[in-house]
Amino acid sequence: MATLIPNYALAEIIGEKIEIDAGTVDELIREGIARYGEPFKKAIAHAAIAVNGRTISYLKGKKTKLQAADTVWLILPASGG
Amino acid sequence: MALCTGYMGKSYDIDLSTGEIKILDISQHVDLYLGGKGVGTRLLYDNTPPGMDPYDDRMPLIFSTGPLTGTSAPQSNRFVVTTKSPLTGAVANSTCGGDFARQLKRAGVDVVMVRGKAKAPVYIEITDEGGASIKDATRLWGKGAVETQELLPKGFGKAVIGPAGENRVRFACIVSQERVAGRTGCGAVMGAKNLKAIIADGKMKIVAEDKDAFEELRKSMVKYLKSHPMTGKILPDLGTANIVNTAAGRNILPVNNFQRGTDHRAPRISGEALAAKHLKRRVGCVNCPIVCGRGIDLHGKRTKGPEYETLSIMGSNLGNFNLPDIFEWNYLCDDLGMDTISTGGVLGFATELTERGMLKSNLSFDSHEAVAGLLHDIAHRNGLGDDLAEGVKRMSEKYGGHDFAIHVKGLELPGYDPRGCYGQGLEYATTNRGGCHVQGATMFLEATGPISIDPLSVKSKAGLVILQQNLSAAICSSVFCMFSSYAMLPRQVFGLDPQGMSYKAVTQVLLNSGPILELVLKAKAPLSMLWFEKFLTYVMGKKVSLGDYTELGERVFNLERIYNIREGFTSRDDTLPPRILNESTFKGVSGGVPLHEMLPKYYRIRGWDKYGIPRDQTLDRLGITT
Ligand code: SF4
Repeated sequence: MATLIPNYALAEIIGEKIEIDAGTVDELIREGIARYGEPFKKAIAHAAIAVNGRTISYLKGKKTKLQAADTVWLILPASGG
Repeated sequence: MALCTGYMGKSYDIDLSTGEIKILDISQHVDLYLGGKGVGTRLLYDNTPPGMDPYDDRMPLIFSTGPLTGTSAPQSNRFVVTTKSPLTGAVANSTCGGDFARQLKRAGVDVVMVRGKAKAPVYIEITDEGGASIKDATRLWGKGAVETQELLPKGFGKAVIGPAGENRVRFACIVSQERVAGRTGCGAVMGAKNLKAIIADGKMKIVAEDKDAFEELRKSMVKYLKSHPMTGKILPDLGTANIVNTAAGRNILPVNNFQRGTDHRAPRISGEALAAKHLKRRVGCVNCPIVCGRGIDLHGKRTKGPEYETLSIMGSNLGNFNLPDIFEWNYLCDDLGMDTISTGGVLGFATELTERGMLKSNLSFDSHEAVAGLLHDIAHRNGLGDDLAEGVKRMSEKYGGHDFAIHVKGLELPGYDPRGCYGQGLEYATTNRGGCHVQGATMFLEATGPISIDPLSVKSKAGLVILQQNLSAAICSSVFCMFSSYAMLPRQVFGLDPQGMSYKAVTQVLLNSGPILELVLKAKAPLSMLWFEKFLTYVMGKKVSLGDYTELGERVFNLERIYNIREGFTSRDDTLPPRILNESTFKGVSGGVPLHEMLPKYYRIRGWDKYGIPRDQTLDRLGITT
């Protein structure tokens, strides 16, 4: 069971810490869309995804495997200031 | 010597001990050091003997502008304060927006160097018609920065201190409107001089040498900044608070005195939460189209909302995820005149000391009732506040906890844990004013920006950090807002899908760009390529190339380094806190920032010897005299 931390807007709808049973990031996305529909789809479309602090571009992309204690964040693709 | 356009041609050397006001000649410095931080550092170097105490009456406190200050170039109405830091003992400088810089130029003045100590509280008034005068500030002493500005004559641009500066809190800041010259304790040096404020007013104007080209560039830059994803969307919409979620997701958000890099409650203090629930208006500095400031209401009063640094260091770093608390503390720090980063850093350290039984206090990472009261105690040096006012380094010397004392050269770290951005770690270790993020901002290219050059790799980071530091030193000498540099990345980069192949390819190329970077650092581009040099060229009427510009930054950085070495700093000070060096916050990663893998290369590329001392050839090439 991985833990998903949605961004603020999505968290307002689905909660700030979600447990999702998924073996990969891809499965997590599918499961999220199945559970939460359009708001989840919208959030994913505009987010970078990080697993345990590493964006998945440095892991295996959407094929990145997830383990029970892993934390997945949806974050802004670009920040600064 | 007559100065070119961009300079008013008059600067002051004011001695508060004798009341003497002399004209200061900066003309011999502007060719090599331009203005702002560059000229400020040169004046500091030349006007102090080695080892002078920051609180010595003779210590100069230098307010300097740049050739673009007072013009309508976006993001240019800022001033720099330079002195020796009472917090670190190293060079101190801080830049500030607000209304003072523009008004100082309009009063016909480029630089004000204040020395000596007044017998009783004073303020300095500068006008185009009346020149400079020293006035009684007894009635202002003890007042907060907000009230002080209200009580001073209307229409003037102001730079003031609060009670923290008066009481020599080592991280006291200087405030202009709602903007602060926050870091390194310049406000404490001002307070030690019994100088409550410096204010300026005038009607003089700077007319660019090439007026038409300047105006055309200004218009196109405003358009560009407004259409750029970073400066036209992310910063105006979310302020610097946009970083909170990204930092938490990338494991670089300081939590509980840098014990962790993330917390699932971070979205509660994010830019999105601030915008959705509290944002009343966007506020910006003079002539800046970006308006990154957050306007909120606090107890029915219009005030400034917190920046990312405050949200992280006075929020998650204290275990606090409640926005209204942070609003309150942010306001208090600004009014009392204290840097929020160092304040949050010292409170985080004291909280961990308390939780480990090494300090008796009411501080806790789980409840925060004690914080507001302690802020007043720090500013007035009451009880425990007197110790906290000394900063983390001195606190750790008194109470222990060296391993988790989070500072570099005595300056408390800002809100980016470098264990998730190794280049930023190198930048913290080598930046001349200590643990600071705005004199390079490498984390933008590693962890927060639209492209992420593998944050957990040391590859190419030495060259990257140097490039960033040089550019930043040039920006602070010319004097632009550092945020302008975020618009240097082409818009297209922001369109890359972070999960896509192109993104991966771009970041891989950049990660392997070390040798090219070294060449770039050595080359001297003959053209004006960025808007910084173009604006300078049009205002001053003499060509400034990108090569001139980056070399200016390199020169200023090396002069700061030489100053620090003169004041007793060595390569041993180019380090990071033990917690940051030794403990990882990443699953499967052992150890912290591998600084030892980057530092020798950094010295070599800089043209320094293995002890981190700039070689004679390097100083000669840059024209630095010592
Ligand atoms: S970007 Fe923000 S801090 Fe910089 S000049 Fe503009 S409003 Fe001021």
